[in-house]
Amino acid sequence: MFKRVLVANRGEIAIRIIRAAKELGIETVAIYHEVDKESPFVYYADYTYQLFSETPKGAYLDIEQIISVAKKSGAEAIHPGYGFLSENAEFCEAVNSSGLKFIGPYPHAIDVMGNKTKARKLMADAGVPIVPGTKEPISNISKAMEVAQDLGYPVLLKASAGGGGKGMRKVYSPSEFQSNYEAAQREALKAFGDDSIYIEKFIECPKHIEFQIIADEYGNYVHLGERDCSIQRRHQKVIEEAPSTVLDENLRQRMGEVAINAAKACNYVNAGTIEFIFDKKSNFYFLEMNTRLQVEHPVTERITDIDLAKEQIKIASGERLSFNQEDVYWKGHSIECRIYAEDPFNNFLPDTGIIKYLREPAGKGVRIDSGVETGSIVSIHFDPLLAKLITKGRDRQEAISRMERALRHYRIKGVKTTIPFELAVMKHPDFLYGWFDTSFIENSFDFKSLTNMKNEYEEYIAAIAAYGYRLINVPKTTNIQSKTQKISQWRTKNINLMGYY
Amino acid sequence: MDNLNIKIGDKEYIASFDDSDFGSIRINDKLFNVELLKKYDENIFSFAVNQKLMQVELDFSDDDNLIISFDGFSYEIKISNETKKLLEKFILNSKSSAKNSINKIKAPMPGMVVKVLVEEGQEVEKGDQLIIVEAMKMENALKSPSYCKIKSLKVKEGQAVEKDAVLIELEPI
Repeated sequence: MFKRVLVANRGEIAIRIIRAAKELGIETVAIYHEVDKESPFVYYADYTYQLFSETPKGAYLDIEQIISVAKKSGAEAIHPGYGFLSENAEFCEAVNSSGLKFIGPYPHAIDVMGNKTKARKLMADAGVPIVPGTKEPISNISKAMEVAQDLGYPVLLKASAGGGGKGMRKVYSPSEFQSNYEAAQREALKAFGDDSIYIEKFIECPKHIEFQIIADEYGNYVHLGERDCSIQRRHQKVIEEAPSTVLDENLRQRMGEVAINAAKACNYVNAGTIEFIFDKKSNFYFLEMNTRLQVEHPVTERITDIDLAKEQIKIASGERLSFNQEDVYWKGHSIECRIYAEDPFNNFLPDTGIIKYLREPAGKGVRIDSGVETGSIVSIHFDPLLAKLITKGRDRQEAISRMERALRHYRIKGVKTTIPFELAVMKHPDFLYGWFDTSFIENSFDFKSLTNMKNEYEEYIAAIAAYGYRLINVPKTTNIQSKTQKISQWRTKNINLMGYY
Repeated sequence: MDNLNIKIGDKEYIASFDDSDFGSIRINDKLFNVELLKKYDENIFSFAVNQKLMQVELDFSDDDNLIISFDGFSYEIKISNETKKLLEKFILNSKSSAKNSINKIKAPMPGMVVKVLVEEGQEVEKGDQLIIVEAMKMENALKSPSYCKIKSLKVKEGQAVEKDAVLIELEPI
């Protein structure tokens, strides 16, 4: 086993990894950029080194500097967390060839799974279902229409050189085909200088179901079941759960086997996730593989009792998996809400500020993986994820009511958060019933429910406002006081008044 | 104490007081008993309003404007004295309303200017995209509030901007 590990990340995930390492008796090294000097993760570690970079993000992406600090610190391995360099094959390669160990897969797997075309081909060859479509681009319209007819409408037209949604069009019927095809060609030509178009079956309102797999260096592969991550905004997950409400044991086993085959096809080692899109008829198709620990890994940990971060470190140090497929069980139900500094009333626009007050929920079945504390500055430099709130219950109903309770007890003052939105989701009939898909926020969720929640106590708020106003205005001794004097007066005065009213 | 006009969002409430009981407050004739129970650091307080426990942050930006945060919701509140309000109404009516139109485009949050889509002197329609600002992976297109002319551009592409920084000045046509 390693004696010392460097964590090449920040925030909640750095703390998560440090906790796992400590439990294995391993010393930890944190790295940070100046702006993170006060961040809690730095102080969870045993040793810490500052990185220097023009931009804060740049520090956590500086391969050369991170490896040189790791060597200087005496670390034997580097855990990349998620984001930043975690899916960078070049970094993985550089770590391994510097004599350190990258805690994750080998560069080949990161490389092939990071490339959409390569991954799709590899998966098709391994018998993993992929969304039906053309393998070669088509530039002849009558042939294209034939293909669309064979696939069945709706279909998706995609520029072969595409990306970012440009040159992408949904077509619902043959009568709309020609105009859309020509428009897609024009857009593709304009954007990429190449008008060749792929045709794919369009999966309407799919669910996002992903499988956690784990493999050691001796060819042992195990899947740890699925996570349902269908509640997304801007194609990014906000609420995840395990197990999913739409899988039975048969389907779980079948999808698990497919996930293992997908991992085997790229000689995968360590923890990884195969993402599928899942349609209304229970068809599932490979979306992509995440070659790292996922943000939402705790829901799997809660129902399997397996510590994924610890397993990752053990595998990287050369240990065999301590369990096989038959040993894995799923017990109860777990939900995660990502607590983002975002304004759900304003299109989830990120918010910044200082966390003035923080009280985290606790109690039975509640887990919090947080990266902030009172006084923490939430800046624009990084992803606005503050913390993850994870609950577990004997069944889904208990996990949901526990989540509702925990969200209500979560107090964060100073930045707007996604908490009110998540509370409203916990009460939403579609969510309670268990049939919701990736279009949930767009199609099913009514933001009026948030406004209704807000209005419920508005009169009470008005009463508090009136009380506060009276406190600062009542003794009309003088009107010449400055604003700040008045406000500080209000602060001290209410302490004095507390004894009387 | 005079009655207060309390505006929360687009709703207005009248608050009236009981001079013999500080915590007794009527909101639109509904009686509330407000009790301040506990103060934390900064401006965080726990109140009992009709015995309902409410932990709030009170943020007075000045005497008449405050933001109250409660249960993850934030309430923007404007308070005015009824007499003061009558006065304001009078002043407002005597001014021309043309000056109230928006003539500055400001950054909604700290971020980076990704693209400036207009030039100085250009005439734009209401709803035209003027500038794209990015913050934390999210692009935000700011649109023209009315038919007007671009008076001046205050920022360049690639420039970092603070919240409320003036990006573009507009001129009504």
